[in-house]
Amino acid sequence: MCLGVPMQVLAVEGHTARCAARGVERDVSLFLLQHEPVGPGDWVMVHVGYAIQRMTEAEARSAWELHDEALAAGDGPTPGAADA
Amino acid sequence: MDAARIGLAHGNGGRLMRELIETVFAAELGALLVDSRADAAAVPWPGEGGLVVTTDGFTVQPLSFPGGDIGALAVHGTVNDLAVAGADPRYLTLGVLVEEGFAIEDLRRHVAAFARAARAAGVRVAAGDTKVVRRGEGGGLYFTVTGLGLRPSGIVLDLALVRPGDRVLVSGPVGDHGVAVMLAREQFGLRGDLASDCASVLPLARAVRALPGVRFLRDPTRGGLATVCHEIARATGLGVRLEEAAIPVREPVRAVCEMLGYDPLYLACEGRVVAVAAPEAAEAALAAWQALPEGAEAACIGTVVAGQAVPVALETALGGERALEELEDDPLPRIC
Amino acid sequence: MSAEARRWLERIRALPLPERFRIMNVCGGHERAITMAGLRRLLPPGIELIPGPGCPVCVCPEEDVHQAVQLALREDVVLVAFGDMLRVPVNVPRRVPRSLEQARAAGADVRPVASPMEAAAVARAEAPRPVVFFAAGFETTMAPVAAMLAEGAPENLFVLLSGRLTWPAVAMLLESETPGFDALVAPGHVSTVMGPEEWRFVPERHGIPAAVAGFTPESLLAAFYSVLRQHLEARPFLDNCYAEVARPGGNPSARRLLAEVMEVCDAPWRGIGTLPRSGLRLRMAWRAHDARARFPAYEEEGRRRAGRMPPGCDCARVVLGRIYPDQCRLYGRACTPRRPIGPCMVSDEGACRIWWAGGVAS
Repeated sequence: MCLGVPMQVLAVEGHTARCAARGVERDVSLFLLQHEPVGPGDWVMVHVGYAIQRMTEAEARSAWELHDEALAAGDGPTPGAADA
Repeated sequence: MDAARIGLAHGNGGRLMRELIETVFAAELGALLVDSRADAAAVPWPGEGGLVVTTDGFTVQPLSFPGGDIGALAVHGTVNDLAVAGADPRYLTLGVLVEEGFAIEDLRRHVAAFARAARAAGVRVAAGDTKVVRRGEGGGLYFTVTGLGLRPSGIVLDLALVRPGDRVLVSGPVGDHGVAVMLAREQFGLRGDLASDCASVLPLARAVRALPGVRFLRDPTRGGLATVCHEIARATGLGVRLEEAAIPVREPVRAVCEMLGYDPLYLACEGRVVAVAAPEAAEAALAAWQALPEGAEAACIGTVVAGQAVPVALETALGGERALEELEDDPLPRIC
Repeated sequence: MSAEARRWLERIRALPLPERFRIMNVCGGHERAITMAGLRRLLPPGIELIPGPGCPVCVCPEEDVHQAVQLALREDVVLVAFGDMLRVPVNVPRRVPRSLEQARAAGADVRPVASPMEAAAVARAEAPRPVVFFAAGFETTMAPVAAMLAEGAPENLFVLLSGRLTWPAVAMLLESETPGFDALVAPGHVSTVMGPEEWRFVPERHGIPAAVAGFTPESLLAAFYSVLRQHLEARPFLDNCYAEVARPGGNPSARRLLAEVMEVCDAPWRGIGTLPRSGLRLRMAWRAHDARARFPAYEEEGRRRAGRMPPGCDCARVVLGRIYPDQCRLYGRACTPRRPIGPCMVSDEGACRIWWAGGVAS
């Protein structure tokens, strides 16, 4: 229920960030990200013109990947324990 | 849509417009109509080759946008209909509806753009008319243009020639005009300098119209690529199967579609050609286009097939499949 | 196809799949991504992807849409709404406008917007004329609406709120004897705002495999793989295949603003009836911007229409994944994309529209 698009912050002025994605620019509100600093170069997930989260590198796509890697390395944590 | 009244969708090139033409214009004009299916029709006349006639209305907003304006668009839109019918444009007429209070210097600027485009297309203006509508009753300026062209004898482009196995080609990226106009209006807070593909397709049409095996040409305008494919499917009773990975789409067009929930295959183009060619002719047609600057990104994007469950299907980039329905309503920005 | 997507697809195909496995998602955005990528055709036949109650168009109660249409027609207001809501039909006699778009064709000032900020901009431009923002959606959309109000909205902007929480409908399904699905793909952006923890009740209390998914084929395919493997190894837990955005605890600022501006309440879901503590409404402190307070007459009229579905329309059971679209008596006959009767055929992501696009005509 929420079309979201990753956009890169170009400039910040108060609660507004000028963001761009593949040649299209939009003024995005940072009012929902007051708990963490957002600056030029950061990527944010934008929904209805509001940044709803700053994007970070994900460690793994699924807990099963961690589980299988650990299994291969000999000490298998149960994925149930490793959930988000 | 209240079926008894005109809605915006009646002008978007989709199903409602097609049914309006069938149930009102074709029904009332009947045998007077030379050919209600084609954008440009050959009319009998004593001279050499075929005399081809077309007419088109232009209500673009804003009047100027990156890559063009209403004046250039009015020439290209009309010339393109003649070109994809295999004709060489000769004469245009220019009907103008201008709103009370419209700046004369702005009118001059758009007519000058019309003149530049007409000179480039090698056409002359045979007739004109200007009417003024009361302030508040129009979008400032509307152009209606009729075009006359001559089709050299021996050129045959007709949907009746299309066979299963024929290939579908497009001359360049789709959806540029639709998005360029949206960005020029800074609609929904989106900005960007994507240029419209507004241009004459005469060179593209001339490059392939005489090649044996080239069955049909059409310029996708309102309703975009998907609407042209539905026209092919309906006229032939066959199916069209497109390959998403092969369809050229510019990045800003993809970005706007993701942000608003639009589909680029339905967005307007104003300087592209879709061709249907026999398998053995497809390579030559593609090479002819790619040799032209405006055809550099031409691509073979699909095939005409028999016995498909839906008129137009898309093989997605991921290898999945989805049906491309006939356009119902203009796209609206979605959150979900 | 991207290499990562292919790897997940190959892993899915390599699993010893059950004969039938129904994976429900509760997000129109997931449905859109699944449909646009044509994922259904790529998965082994036994796997069914079921669109559940998670698309604002499908679940927005008819009385809210009716209220918006009446306001637009009978008051000198500008009615702004997200594009999704403009074509949702209400059950009215033939000649009366049955959607916001038909109200516009009949002369009402109805405008689509893509952001609450645009609604505020329209209000500033139209001041002092009242502007009513018909805001229907789930937590991800309600947080920006709350932010717009908290940041300071123009005096002439009134919000007609139709807010919903996502998990209550899933909880209701799981507590009924026939939930109608074997695994859940949890909504990516709701989890981004509210935190994935909201969905732990699905594996922990009901033993149903679950995974938060994003909106790329890679993330969705990984989530399908995860719930399948959880089922096969009888290890239900809440996986997170969208960790780059959906982080533990979600977005604290968004949750604070939501709590500051709105409060949870019982709410009607179209065709399903009222679900306790499943809706969001404006707190009293924000009455000055509440369209229901500013135009109370329409509130009453709307409530009288509560709950009524178009005759014969089975959208309720389709929305809950209880029946397949073509098991509804109207599907393909009276109800088609051209003349949609129920919301599941109107919305591009409604279950019925998806089946129709898949070539299932009747």
